[in-house]
Amino acid sequence: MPHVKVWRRSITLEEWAYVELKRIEELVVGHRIPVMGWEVREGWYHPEGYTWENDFRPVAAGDFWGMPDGGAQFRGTIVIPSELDNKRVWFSMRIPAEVIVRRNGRYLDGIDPNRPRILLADPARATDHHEIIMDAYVRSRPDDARNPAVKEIRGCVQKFPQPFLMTIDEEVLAARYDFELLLEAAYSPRSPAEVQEFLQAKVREIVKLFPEAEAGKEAVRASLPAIRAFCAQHVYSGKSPYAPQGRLAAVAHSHLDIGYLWKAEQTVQKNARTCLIQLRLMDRFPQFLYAHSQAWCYETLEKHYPEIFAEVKQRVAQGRWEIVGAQYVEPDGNVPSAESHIRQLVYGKRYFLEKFGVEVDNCWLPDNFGNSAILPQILTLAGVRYFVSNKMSTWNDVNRFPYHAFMWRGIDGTSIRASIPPMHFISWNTVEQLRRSWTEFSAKELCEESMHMYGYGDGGSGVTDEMIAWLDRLSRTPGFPSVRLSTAKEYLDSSFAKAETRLPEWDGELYLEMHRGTFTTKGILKRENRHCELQALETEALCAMASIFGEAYPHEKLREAWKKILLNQFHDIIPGSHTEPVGLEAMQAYRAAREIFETAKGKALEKLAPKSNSNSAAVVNPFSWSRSGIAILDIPASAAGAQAQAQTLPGGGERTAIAITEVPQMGIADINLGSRLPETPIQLEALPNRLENRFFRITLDNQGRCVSIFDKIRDREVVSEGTVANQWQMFQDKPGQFNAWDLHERYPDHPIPVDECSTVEVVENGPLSAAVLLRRSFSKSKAEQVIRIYRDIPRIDFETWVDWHEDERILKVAFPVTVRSRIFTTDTSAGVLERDNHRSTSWQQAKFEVCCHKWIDISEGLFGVSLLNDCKYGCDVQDNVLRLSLLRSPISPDPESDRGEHRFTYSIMTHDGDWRRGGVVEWAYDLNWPMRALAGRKSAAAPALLLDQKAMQVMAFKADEDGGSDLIVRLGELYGSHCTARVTPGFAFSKVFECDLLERTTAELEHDDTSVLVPFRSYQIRTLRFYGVKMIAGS
Amino acid sequence: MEESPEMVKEFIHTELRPRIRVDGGDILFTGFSGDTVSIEARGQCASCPAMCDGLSWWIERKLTERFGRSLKLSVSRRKNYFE
Repeated sequence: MPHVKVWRRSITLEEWAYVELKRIEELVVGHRIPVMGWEVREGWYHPEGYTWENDFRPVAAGDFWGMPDGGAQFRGTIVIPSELDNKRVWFSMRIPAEVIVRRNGRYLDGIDPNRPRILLADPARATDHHEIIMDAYVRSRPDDARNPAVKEIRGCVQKFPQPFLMTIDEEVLAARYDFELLLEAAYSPRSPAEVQEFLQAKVREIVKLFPEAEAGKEAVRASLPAIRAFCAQHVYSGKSPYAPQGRLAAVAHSHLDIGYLWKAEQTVQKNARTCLIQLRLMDRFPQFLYAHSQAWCYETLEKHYPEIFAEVKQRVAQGRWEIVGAQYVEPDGNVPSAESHIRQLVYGKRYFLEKFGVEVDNCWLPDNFGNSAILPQILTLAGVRYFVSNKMSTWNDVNRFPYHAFMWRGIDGTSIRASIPPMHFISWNTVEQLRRSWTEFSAKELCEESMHMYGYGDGGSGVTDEMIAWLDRLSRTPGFPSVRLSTAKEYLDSSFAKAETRLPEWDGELYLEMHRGTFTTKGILKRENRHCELQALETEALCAMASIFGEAYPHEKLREAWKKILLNQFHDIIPGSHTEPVGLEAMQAYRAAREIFETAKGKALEKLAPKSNSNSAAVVNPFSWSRSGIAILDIPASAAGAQAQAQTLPGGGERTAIAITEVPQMGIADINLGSRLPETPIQLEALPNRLENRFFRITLDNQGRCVSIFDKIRDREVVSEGTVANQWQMFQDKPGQFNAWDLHERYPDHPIPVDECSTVEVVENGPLSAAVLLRRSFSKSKAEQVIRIYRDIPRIDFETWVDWHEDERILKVAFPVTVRSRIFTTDTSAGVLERDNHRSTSWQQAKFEVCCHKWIDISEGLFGVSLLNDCKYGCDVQDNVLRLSLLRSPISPDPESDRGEHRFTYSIMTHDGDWRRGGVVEWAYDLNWPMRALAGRKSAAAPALLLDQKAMQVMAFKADEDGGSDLIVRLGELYGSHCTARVTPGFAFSKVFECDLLERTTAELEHDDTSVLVPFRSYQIRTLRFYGVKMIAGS
Repeated sequence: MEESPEMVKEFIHTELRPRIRVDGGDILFTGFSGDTVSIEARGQCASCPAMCDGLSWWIERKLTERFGRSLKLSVSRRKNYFE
């Protein structure tokens, strides 16, 4: 063998072998008979049926068909010709579309770019008629762009390919697999040198077995038994000198993005096709196992494809179809609130229990963009034992994630077993992929086996015949990992049992060092998500309160609304990484959810605060602390007779604010609109260059720049010397291919000036608030911002409207403050995450943009500053500068992403000590869910719940999910401190139990006549179930 | 009917373009002269192998249906810098 690389050379053994392989391939197809007489019509798919654009028309090979974002239906009749009598007959069509095939009215199989043929009949009978209907979905990308073989097969309008009936010579096909895999393994640079040498020697022997090149096809066919026998004896016997290296558990699945380059509506069909394909594989390969996730997928399959669902159910019962993923969808791991994550599990797990009797104990998030540190506790409380995600091991762009099997510890100290497989979650079982699944696995010694996920995905599709054939042979290939087909559960149970006490631990969030832009992209969806999460909390609490007064609790409607929110939290919907129609579809779902909540709230209020002739208003407080400040009245002040305590706000027509002295926790307060508050001297003033109240003195320069915020309570300047606060910073934001997903680390290198304000105008001047309005135009955008201070609220609000028309730019707002701290704190919605405020190591450098929820804070010793928001999730802190990411403008996959009007408010506040001392949590909730005063209503209800600990947050107050009249109270400790809370319901009850998140009772709690004492660990979430709730008499 | 460039532009931008953008593709009207309508293919369309036959056929058919005479399409492509 030559030891130098030469380019003038004779044909190599490898090249020669591939020429011989082609000779085998030519023999695979036996009969090939065209099927004529097709018709097509185009239309739009909806799960309930198509909307047709035209009628059926004849279509022949080469004719155009399809339309952008369209579906189509083909129909035709296949009559089995006599030469195929009693043969195994396949139907073949190489089409760049996703096709569900029905035969004689029943679902048969699926065709897509990854699999051009389906088994039609075995055996076929001559003259048998097969009435074929094919539902096809065309789109601009093939089902899986990662499959190199189908990359160029795409287009939303396509040429009809000629369909064929064919027979396959199974022995020839087996010989092809034998030889093809041997060649891949023998020449893969991933194979050890000695294994390459061994296998290449076998290739040489096999090449000798082929007849000479001029020999005909039959001579090649005649040589195949000898080739197969040689392979069986010398290659795949399992008796080579090179024993298997490592062990793989191969788990088949098909990643299915519910909303991405297609709408969720289309995914109903994609899911059905994917399921159908896997079911047919199960028919042909008795050893084949398959895992499928997302309760939403099963729910839609049950509703729209009951025939396929029934088959799936049978396979689940047989143990061959595995349900993975305990959640309703595979959600984003950063943006949803804790309660949303809980509902993902509640509605996911309950569905699987009800329909399949299966308790899913893993969280299956192969593709989401990092995961919050609140998840280990939430998953554990829902009976989930394992967390699975591939993303950090294959997508991190700075650091290699060190563990593939470990204990993941959350902010409360709960740990969960975590599996991060080393390979991408989409693979098609190449030699390289399988080898890397073992060689790159860092827990070889601990677990002894690595999980290898295989199957095409993103748009579904899943496993192919070839993948299974290769796995079977690879497990017997010298020097390769031994492979067994496995379920995810079997792998997780066995591998973690081996490693149990020795697993390394990862504490904190699972930060994905990529896709950092998804905290900000599609701001409008994030705004709706935040709103709906809080609206759900309020509506459920009011409905639960009303149920005590005899009002029926709307279980089904509220579940329906929640499921819309949960669906939109899918990991390519709420992150904003999708095409325009996906965003529009999501907005439609949010509108529907809002409407359901509004209707339910209205009904509950009829019971709790009925309409009254008195000059009063009812103010609802769904939170677990009493509130004061201001409420927005739903009618004009003049119409309500409100006087001194009211103030008409600008910009919103008839919006009126009224002063609120106290609304009890989880309760409703009556406000007498006619009464005057005592006239007390107040300091509240707005001038074009100055805003002042008893908390702050804010100085603006003549361009509206905030050059000083003086904290009058603490007698100190807040804004760092020589800087300005509320500074808008715009940067070029060109991350390249993953445009909607990524924020490039070099974005600060390309600042773009944002013009300062053109006008500053005083728009409010007491008695409750004072404000100036700033107007500015910059680049192609313009904005208006009200800076507002209050008589009684220690916040400075920046109520903002932006008409945003930039391309590939990010807008941030910066607050350089006079605080020095090595850490900063971000709200997670169920406790906080303390983050390093320095970039000493590559791990800290990689986190140049992180996720927050309602606030971030930086504190030093006795003083701190918090930056609150009502719908933003991206932020960064460097040294003393707090920055919130306000808007992005990606150009792909939605070229118009985020362009248009946005409304959001952020606020700054100061406090003694750290964030716990200043009421930051409470004021952040207040910013997100301002009190609203409902005129002409009078409350008939006492507070539903009293808590004696300030650190407690009511995460949910609702009726039980079983449809009964028990009441559920979910509490979370927010301050990171052990405590015991006295919970005093405003209703009588007979028993109280602790329960898991699925509301299954775990222990009865001792209680006195009116209350129960509940101990909490720091950041602990506990769920109480009150039995025997007594209705209020007279209701 | 006598169609003006504005009418063709409006038809493309309001009727055809939204449907094409659904898949992440995009087209922009760039001109109309004689019987030739010029468009610029962007997004997924800019790199799609079917742009110049399949989708062009569909657009021409729609233009013909709308304006009652055969119109030809001239396509230029503008790929994103990262494609």
